Amino acid sequence: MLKLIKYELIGKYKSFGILILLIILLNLGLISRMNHWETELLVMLSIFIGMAIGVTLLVWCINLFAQDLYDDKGYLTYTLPQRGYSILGSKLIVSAIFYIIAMCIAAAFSIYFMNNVNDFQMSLDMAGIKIKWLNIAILFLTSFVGVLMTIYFSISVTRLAIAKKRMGKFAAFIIFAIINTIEGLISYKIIDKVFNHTFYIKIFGFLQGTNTINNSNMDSDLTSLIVNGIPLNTANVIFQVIIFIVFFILTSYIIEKKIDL
Amino acid sequence: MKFDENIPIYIQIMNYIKERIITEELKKGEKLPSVRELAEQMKVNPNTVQRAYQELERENVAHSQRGLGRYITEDEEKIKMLKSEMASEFINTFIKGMSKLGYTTEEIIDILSKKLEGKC
Amino acid sequence: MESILKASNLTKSYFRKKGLNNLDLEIPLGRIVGLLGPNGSGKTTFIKIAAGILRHTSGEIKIDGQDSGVYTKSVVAYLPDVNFLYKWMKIKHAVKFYKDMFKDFDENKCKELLVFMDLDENDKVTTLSKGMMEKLNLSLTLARKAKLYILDEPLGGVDPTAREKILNAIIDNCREDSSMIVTTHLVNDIERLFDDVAFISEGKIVLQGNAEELRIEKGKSIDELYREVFK
Repeated sequence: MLKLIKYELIGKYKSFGILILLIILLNLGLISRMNHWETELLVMLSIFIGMAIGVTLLVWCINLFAQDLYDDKGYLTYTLPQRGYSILGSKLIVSAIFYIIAMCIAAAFSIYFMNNVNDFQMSLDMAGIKIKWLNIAILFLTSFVGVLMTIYFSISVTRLAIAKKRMGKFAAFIIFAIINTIEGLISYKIIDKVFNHTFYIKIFGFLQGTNTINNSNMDSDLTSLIVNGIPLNTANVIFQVIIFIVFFILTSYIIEKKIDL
Repeated sequence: MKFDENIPIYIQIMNYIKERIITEELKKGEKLPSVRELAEQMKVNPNTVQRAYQELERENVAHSQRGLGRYITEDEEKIKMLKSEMASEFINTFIKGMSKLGYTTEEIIDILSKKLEGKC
Repeated sequence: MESILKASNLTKSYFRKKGLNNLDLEIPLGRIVGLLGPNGSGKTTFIKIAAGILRHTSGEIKIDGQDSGVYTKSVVAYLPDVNFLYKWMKIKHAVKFYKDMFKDFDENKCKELLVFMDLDENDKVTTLSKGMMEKLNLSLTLARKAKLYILDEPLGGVDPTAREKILNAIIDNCREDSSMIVTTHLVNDIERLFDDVAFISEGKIVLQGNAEELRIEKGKSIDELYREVFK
C-alpha cells in the first residue's frame, strides 16, 4: 500500500501544487484589499475560498478512484498484485493528506483575516475563550473521508453494472443520493429516537475562573453550542463508523473480486 | 531467413544446416551455434531449433557433447551420404514436377541435357 | 508436463450473448502459444480473464494451480492492447514503478531492452508514437521474470523495424520455466515463433495443436490455416 501511496502522490503533486498556489494567490489578493474592503467581507471571502477548494478537492479525489475504474489506467492498477483494501486505502489516505494540507493553508489564511476583525484574538483572550482548532479539523476531516468513502462505494457498485463513464457517474450519483437518504432516515428516525446519549465535541475551550456566557438573552441552542460544543449522538457516531467500515470492506471486495474492466 | 511456412520450419532449418555442411561452409567437426543464438539469428522459436538439432543428432549428422555444445559429424562418409541424399531429394522433386507437367522420361532427359550443355 | 494455465468449461455470459462458451485450454510450461481468432471471437475476453481484470461466469481457470487473485497477478505479465501507463510518467518513472510493484522485475534487463529499443528514459510517456509505446510496454513486461506472459496484439499498428525488434525481444525471452500467450491478427509475421496454436471462434477453441505438426498435417502455413478456419 505504501508504494501505491507514493506513486499517487508523485503523480498528483504537480496539480495539487497548482491548487495550493491558487489558494495562496487568491488569499494574497484578499490581503492586498485589506485596507479597502470590510474585514468581515474578507473573512467571508477567505472562508468561501476554503470551501470552494474543498469542493474542488472532493471532485479531484473522486476522480482518483473513478479513473482506475473507467479509464485505461485501470489496466495497470488492477493487474498489480495488490489487495482491494490496499488500492482503496491508498486512495483514501492520499485524499486525506491532500485535504489536510489544503485545508490547513486555507484555514491559516482565514484565521489571519479573522484575527483582524476588531482584534478578534484579543477579545477571545480577554473572555478566556480558546478555539479548539484540532477538534474542528478532526470533524472536517472525518466528514470529508466519510463522504468520500460513501462516494467510492457508490462508484464501485455502479461499475459492476455500467461500463460507460458518463452513465456510470450519473448512476453513481443517484446511488450516492439514495444511500445518503437512507442513512439520514436511519439516523434521524431510528437512532435519534431510540438512543439518547449525547456527547459533545468542544469547539470552544474556557479558561477556569472566567465568566462564561450565561446570558439568558442568548438563544439556548447557540449557548449550548458555545458552552458545550457540537452535539453528537453517541449511537449515531457509532453508526457512522460502522457504515464506513462496511463500505470499506464491501468496496475492497468489489474491486478485488468482482470488477470487470 | 525466409521460411516457407507451409513446411515445418524445423525441417527447413535442418536442410539449411545440411546444405552448409555439404558446401563446407560448416566444416566437419565444427561447433554449431547454440539453440538460442540460432533462434535469434533466424527469428524462430528456440524449441524449433532444438527440434532441428535433435533430429540432426538422431540422423547422426551432429552430436552433442555434454556441457560443450553440438558438433557436426567428422564422418566423411556420412557427409558424402548427406550430399547424395539431398541430391536425390532435389531430383525426385524435379522429376515429380516435370511429370506433372506432362513430360515423358525421354523428354525430361532431353531437356535436361540441353540445359546442362547450355550452361557449360 | 506442468501446466501453467488450465481453463475448463470457461464461460463468460453477458446479457444477450456469451463471450466465452465452455472454453477448454491447457498451456504447458516453456511454450509460446498463438491464440488466433478474429474480432469478437472471445480472444480478448479470455485474455482479460487470465490477466485478472474480468470475471468468468462459470467454469474454471487456474494459473499455476491457483484461482485468479493476487498470486496469479504476481506471476502473470500482461501486455494489453492499450496505453495503460499513467499519463504523468516518464519512461524512468514507469521503470521504477514496475520495480516497486513487481517483485520479479529485473531492472537491468529492462534498461538493456530500452537501449535495444532505442528508447530514452527521460521521454514522457504521452509523447511516444504508437510503435515506441508498444516497445516500451513490451520492455516493461518482458523485464519481469513471470511464469506466464500474455501479449495482446504486440505487433498491432507498429512499423516493420519496430516489429523486428519486438520479435527479437520475444525470442530472447523464451525460457523453460515460463510460457507465453500471444494474440495477433498478423499471423504471417509471427507464426514462426509459435510452439502451439489455438484457434478461437465464438468463445470456443475450434482447433489447436503444435504448429509444426499442423504444418505437416495440413500442408499449409498457419496463416493459410487461419484464413481457412475463419473464412
